[in-house]
Amino acid sequence: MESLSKYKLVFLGDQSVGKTSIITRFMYDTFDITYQATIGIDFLSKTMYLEDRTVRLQLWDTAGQERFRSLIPSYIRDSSVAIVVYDITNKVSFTNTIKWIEDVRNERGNNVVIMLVGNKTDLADKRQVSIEEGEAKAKEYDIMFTETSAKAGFNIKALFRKVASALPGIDSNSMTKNQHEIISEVDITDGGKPALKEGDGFCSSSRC
Amino acid sequence: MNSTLSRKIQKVLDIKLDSEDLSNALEELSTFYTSNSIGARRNLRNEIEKRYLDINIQFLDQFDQLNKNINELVLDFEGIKNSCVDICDHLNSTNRVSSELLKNAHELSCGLKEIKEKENTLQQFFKKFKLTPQEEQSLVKKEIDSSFYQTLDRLSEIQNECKKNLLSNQYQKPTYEILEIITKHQDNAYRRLYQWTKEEIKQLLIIEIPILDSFNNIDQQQQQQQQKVMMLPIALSALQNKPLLFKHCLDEISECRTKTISNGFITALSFGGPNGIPRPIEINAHDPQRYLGDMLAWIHQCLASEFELISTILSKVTIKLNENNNNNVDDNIENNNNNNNNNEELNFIEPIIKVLNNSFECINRPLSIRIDQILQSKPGVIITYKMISLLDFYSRMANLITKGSGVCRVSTIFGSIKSNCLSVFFTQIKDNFDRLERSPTVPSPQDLLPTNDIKDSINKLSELISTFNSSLIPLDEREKEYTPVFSSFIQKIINLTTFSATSSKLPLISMAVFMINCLSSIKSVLENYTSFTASNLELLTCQIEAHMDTLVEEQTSELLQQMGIGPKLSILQYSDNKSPLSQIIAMDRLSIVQSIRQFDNCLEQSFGTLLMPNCEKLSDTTLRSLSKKSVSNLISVAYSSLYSAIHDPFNQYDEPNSIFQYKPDQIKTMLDF
Repeated sequence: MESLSKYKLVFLGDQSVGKTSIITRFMYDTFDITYQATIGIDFLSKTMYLEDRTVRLQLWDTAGQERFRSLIPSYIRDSSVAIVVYDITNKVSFTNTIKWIEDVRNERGNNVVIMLVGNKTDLADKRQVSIEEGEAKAKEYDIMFTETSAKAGFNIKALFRKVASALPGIDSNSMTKNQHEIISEVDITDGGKPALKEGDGFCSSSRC
Repeated sequence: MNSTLSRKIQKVLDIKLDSEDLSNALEELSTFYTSNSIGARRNLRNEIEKRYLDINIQFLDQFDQLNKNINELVLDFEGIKNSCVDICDHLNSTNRVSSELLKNAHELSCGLKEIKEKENTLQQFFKKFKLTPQEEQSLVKKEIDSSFYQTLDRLSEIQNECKKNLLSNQYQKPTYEILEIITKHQDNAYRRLYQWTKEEIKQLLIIEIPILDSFNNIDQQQQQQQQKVMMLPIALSALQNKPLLFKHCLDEISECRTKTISNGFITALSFGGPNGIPRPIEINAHDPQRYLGDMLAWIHQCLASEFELISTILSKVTIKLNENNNNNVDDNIENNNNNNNNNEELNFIEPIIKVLNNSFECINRPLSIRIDQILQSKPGVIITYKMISLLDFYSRMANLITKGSGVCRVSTIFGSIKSNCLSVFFTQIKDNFDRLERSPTVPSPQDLLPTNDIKDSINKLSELISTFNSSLIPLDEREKEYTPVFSSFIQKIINLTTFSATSSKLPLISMAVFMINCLSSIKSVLENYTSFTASNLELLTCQIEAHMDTLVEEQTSELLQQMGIGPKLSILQYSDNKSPLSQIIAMDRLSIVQSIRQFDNCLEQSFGTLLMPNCEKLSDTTLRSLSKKSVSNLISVAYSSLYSAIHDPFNQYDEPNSIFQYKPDQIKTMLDF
């Protein structure tokens, strides 16, 4: 039984939407103006201290380049949380979040926390994707949603706090609540997948 | 009467009223002279004298009392004097009796000072060389806490002091005795610490994901466990002073983690996660690339977690281990001495790397077995190379995890498996080309394009290089990595091409076209990756140029023959320049005129665009255009040489201008396109 105190988060999204910058802002509270594409898969970890518990987050930063695409499913399958990032100034990156979300569903079913993140809100004058569009897509796929700016440091800590709070905890009340939500969300006719057993992981549908 | 009155009045007037004595007298008088009656005035003299007498009597009484007291004082002094005399006598008597005793007391006083100094020295000695009862207790009580480690430090200090004394050659015997006692304490303490540490390692590290710094206020048990984890780094730090015990602890850590890693890997392969999520890795066994990728990714993630865990546990460890470490203490010392003498830093390894490398040895066998199974299923050249690329990728990723602190065993395992796959890959290539060369397919004369076999091989080459280009290999290493794999592959395709050409029994010109088409196909693949394919491109370019020369010459010769001046040019080329051309058979004026007319007619009919069917079959448009231009140029040059020869007076042609209709410049202009 995997310890409930440690979780793997995988960061997904097209090239240069800001996956690495979000992580860097969270880890070191810095932002690198020059863009450097992530090579392969990067690993960082950090402890978060919540009001009622402490969680250890392992952050797996993936490369958005096409040539590393085939490697990513192997990391999705082992992650409890998927952070799907798009660039609000790039409509295509938002459109492409569909395939990332579907990849996550293919690997993890409903046993995963998915957070849709629209980054680069500091470039409001170049916005191509509205908040409403982001919220609508999150609702459509029944996942969490937020907007951030890694450059300005806006909403980054809140993003991770929200994710950490959505993770199943050791508290039995929380576990019971999660199980209830899981049961209500199971759809046995969806793609012929077998019905999930009681006690399976956790899927959050809360939105900001 | 007047004189008496006058005398009294004058006397009164002479009185000085401002005299102090008079003032005092009058003031005193007022105390008893209260009425100014006749009786009072008559008795004034008597009253004053009486008062004067009374005062004198009081004075006499007082003085008599004083005299009496003084006499008593004199008597007292006489008493004291007598007592003092007695005391002196007694004292002298006592001195005589006690002189010996005083002498002894003095001697004892001096002795006491000396003894106190010795006592201080002894106290300092104890402070320096002996444990206090509390310190001794801290070494044997049930719980190992900070006082235990403080006492260990104290023991080290004492040991160092003893060694100093031995070096200074002072108090050798007692120093050896102290050293023996301290060493005994130390050995017992370290043995106990070792037992405690081993037990803690077994309890903490046997679970798959040990709790390092997570903290939950609700769960007290976890809180205690966290405290234990924090003590473990301190214990290991202390055990550094006992290399053999320390090494055993590292072995214990490796053993525990080996079990959890091995179990975790097998579980991930066969059973998957809790409740089936994630799914077992072996579900994707039908897809070699995904199957291998999942296994390598799992190991990669596990390595990252283990590195973090072991880093925390060994965070206070500073020594480096000897790579040639043996269990024998003597060998240990000998090796250390040798290495210190040789200053071979490469033989040392970080403890964390040692633990990690030992822990991950267990993944070698299950991984190798499964990869062998994939290879035995004959996946094909492309799949095999993608596997090689994956292994190379993760080999480099594994080194990134350990941040260059030492050679990572996972990386070397991946590298070793990669070498095996590379052998299979080369065997596959060799078998494939051997089979193709045994029964080569011949090119179609209609188009002279690469055969299907060659096309397939070039497509494989393209895909392989694309895979190579996606890898993590640094740019400066690309060419070195590329050459052994791809140069031989390319050479085999070229060999196959040559074999197909020579087996086809086609005319030389057709073979040249075929070769050019095949080589340019290969070249177009390589041109997408010029950063590491430069040497191959250079070779291919030279080969293509050679075949182009063949093609151009053959096509030119063919055209000149069709246009009628071919034979004339041959004669011209082989003439000995000793006799005029006009006297050679077939070079008479009439024959020349006929040939030139035929040439001009051909040129005029084609409007300068000659038919070059062989050049048209070149698939590369650049090469096609270049070949046509080269042929036209050669034809122009040939015409020019014939023109010059005819006009040479030595050759004795009458009126040569009438033979030619066009000048060489005009021909050149007509042929240009």
